[in-house]
Amino acid sequence: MLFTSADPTAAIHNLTQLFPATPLCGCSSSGEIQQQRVLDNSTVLTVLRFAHTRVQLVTESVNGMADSYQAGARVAQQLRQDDLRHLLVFANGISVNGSQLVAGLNQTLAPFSRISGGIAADGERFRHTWLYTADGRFSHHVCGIGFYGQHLQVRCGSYGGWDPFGPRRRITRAQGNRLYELDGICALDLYEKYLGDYAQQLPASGLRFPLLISGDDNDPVVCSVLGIDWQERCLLFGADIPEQHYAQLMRANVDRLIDGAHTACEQISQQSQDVPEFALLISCVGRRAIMQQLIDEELEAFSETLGASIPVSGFYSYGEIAPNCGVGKCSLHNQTLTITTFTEHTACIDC
Amino acid sequence: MHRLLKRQLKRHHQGTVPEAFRPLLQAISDAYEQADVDREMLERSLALTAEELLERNQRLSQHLLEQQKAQSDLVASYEILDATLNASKEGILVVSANDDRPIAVNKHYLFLMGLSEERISHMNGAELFRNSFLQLFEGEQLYDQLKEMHRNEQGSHRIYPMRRGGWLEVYAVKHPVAGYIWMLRDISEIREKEETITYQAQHDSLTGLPNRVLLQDRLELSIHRAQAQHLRIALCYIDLDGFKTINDSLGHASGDKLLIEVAQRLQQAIKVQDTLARVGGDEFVVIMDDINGQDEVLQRADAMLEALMPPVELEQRSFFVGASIGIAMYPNDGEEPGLLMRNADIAMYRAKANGKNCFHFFTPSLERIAQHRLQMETELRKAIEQDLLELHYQPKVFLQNSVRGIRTGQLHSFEALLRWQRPDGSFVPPESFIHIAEESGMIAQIGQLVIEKACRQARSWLNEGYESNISINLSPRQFLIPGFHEDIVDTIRSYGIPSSMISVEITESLLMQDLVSARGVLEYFRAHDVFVYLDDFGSGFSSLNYLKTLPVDAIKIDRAFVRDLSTSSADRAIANTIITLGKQLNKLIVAEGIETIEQANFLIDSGCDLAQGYFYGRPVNGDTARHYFQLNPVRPSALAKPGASE
Repeated sequence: MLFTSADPTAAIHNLTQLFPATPLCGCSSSGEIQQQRVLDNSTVLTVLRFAHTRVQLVTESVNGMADSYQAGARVAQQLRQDDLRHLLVFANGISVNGSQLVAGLNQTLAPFSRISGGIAADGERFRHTWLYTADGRFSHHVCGIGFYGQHLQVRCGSYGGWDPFGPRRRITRAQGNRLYELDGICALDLYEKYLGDYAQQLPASGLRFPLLISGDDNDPVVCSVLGIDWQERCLLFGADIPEQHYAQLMRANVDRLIDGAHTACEQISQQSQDVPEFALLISCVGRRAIMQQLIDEELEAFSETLGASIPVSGFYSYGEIAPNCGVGKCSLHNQTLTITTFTEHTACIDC
Repeated sequence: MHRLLKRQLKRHHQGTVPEAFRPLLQAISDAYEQADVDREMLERSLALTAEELLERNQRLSQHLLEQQKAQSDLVASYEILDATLNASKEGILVVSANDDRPIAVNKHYLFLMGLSEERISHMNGAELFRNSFLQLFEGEQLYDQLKEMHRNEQGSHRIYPMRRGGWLEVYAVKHPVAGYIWMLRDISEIREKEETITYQAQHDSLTGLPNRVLLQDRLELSIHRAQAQHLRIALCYIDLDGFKTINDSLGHASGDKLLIEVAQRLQQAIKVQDTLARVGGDEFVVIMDDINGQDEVLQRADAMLEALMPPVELEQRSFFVGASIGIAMYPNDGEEPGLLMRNADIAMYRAKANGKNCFHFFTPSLERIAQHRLQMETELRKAIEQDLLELHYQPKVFLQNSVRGIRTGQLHSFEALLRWQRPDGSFVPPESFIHIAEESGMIAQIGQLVIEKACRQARSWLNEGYESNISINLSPRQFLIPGFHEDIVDTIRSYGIPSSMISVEITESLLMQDLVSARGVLEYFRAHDVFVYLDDFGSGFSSLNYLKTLPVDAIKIDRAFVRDLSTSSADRAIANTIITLGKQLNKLIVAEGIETIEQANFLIDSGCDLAQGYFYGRPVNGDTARHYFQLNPVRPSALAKPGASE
């Protein structure tokens, strides 16, 4: 697995030369995670070697936002096998509708929900994201890695730590992932008002105010601003914004986010006391924007909770994919720290 | 570098910062900046949120106020609605279409359906329906109404008789929001009034008999039935004889009593299934259904006349009321109501003409007569309009020589005789049109015309120095016109002539008609120097009793006795007797219709005072009459008073 905010072309070339039979995948990021550190302009390479577990990798192109659901379904279709243990997913950001992608995966694999992963990022620029495989880099793609067998234990944890504030607003005009109006007022105006001078840094500064979207029957979902259409004066999100649902602005401080990281780790330890052999950490670019120099602390929350000796890698993303609270239905998240741990046992787990 | 860090360095560290610390200081500065940004953003969002929440709160408060206002308006309008509903004279019930419960009901509904508020609060639509069912006759119609209400957007409307009496109008309509609306109205009073109005419109208020309107209906019905079952109907048109006299002399109250009595007697004389109607002042009509033949009608008409025969007691006096009955038969004399009525009317006129108190069946010839009469009436009306009626004057002459120099044959006075000359020059004799004038109500007009013309003529003669008396004939009908005698005297005065220049001639039949009022009129004439002749004496029911007491100045022997004087010894005896009687009673005796010298001589010898006839002079117009003055002028002062012929 390869996460990078640099140009990894040469690296991929060398890797395919050296390990031609090994599946390779990864994506661009807004910062790379290696153990308890966050790096910029680096490439983090992780090699996973299994004794009993099979691995299969597929890559699918996404033909426009509207194809996101079908692309998810296609990937799931190819990787669906009886002994599928876990599905790791990476997809381009901005060009793919993450929530539709996850919906396609869920629908095809149901009731299977052991899916996690992340959306490729582009620093705080929100322009181009890349997906990498042995075949090169892609801008409109999704890549899935299926883990099979009876020996692998994969655990997930995911938590944000953001708090909603201010009035609940009805989504009075939205289309797909585009939000136009809240309570009949232009949503972009509202963001500009709350951001003040920082509105000039939109969409990056929009990460400070994610939206909590709640409908009548489903769980509330956190959504981050991933782009602005200045001409149509609307906000672009990584997921669908349903009309007539409610939206509430959210905010966070460093302490609450670090607490959130601890919660995500606790979700892992609550599932099993076993020490993981590897942990994949995917955290949101919005968290980094808030925590800045203190960003290492959310990584240290992991080593403090689960152990400092566990190999950790990961990246800062435009969206996290994980089961809700680590164990529920799989969703696309924003503003969370999502953890996936791998442990391969000698004995068959379910036998 | 962040200003706080600069300040800290200045305070805690003098001199330049070693190069190795610069990245650290930069990181500290960045963290300060970051904290500032975070704080600023937090403050900003808190302020904005507070502002937004305040604004929302304000909106909510406003909304709440509006809501409260709407609520109180709603309460008020509900109260108004409730008051309005309860003020209504209609019973109103609204049943919810959702739960079949009454959602609105007013007091009048409870009253009409015999329910209490307590009871209705426990009832559902079906129970209310059952209750209504029990309150009404023909309650099963409610089911039809219910169906119709569902079917018809306009609702359904029915009228039911109520078990406790009276009528209930029920209107039911389905409303998409309100549910089922039932409106009840007690229309008993309206129904009663309508019935009364209908009754009044169809009945005569005095006698309670059907009037012309109802008669028309019944007649149509009878004809319809007769047509279907091939039956015969008799229609009797009854007109009372001499009713007007009683009405005018005794007043309307007595007249009304008489009519009521007559109505009762007729009612008793007919069959129960017959219809007796009052169609005019003294006119009644009887419809006799299912007649076997003319004999039956004849018997029954007789029975009616018989019923009227006993005298009617009015103001302690007895009056005899006769009637003339005209009878038309369906289908022979007409197959529709109008024609039957007309023909019965025609037959009635014939009965009247035949001497009253009898009946007459309609015949086609009667119709011809009636048509002729109608034509005459129209022509007469036109003749009056065009002034085609004029007076001719026939002289009356002295028969006896007198000590005062009067010689036999000398002019005494004139009788004015009415002449109607048609545009074609032909004359219509008075006996052909006077009765038409009498029956059609033109007699008053003609009477006035006669007195005017006579006065004008007298005035004209007086202006020329001839002072001669003109007598005018009065119709018995004129006596029925209130104050006619005063009009005559007033007219004479208006021409500025002595009233002694006009005299009046009345007939015996007039005296038969109403002696009491006739006496009053005659006394009025005498008091105003208007000389009175009793015409046609001996032709009718002459009563010596009234001859004795009545203020009559002269007696005219009927021309029937004069005609055969030379051949009939009986007539000679009668003439002699009348002359002797008149002289005994101090009346002047006038003989009419003298055409021969023999007649004249006999009368002269008998001592008759005056003579009139072709032998002495034909009636001539005013201009020609002047000729008599020139032959033998006479002053009115010389007009012989009884005994003056000596």
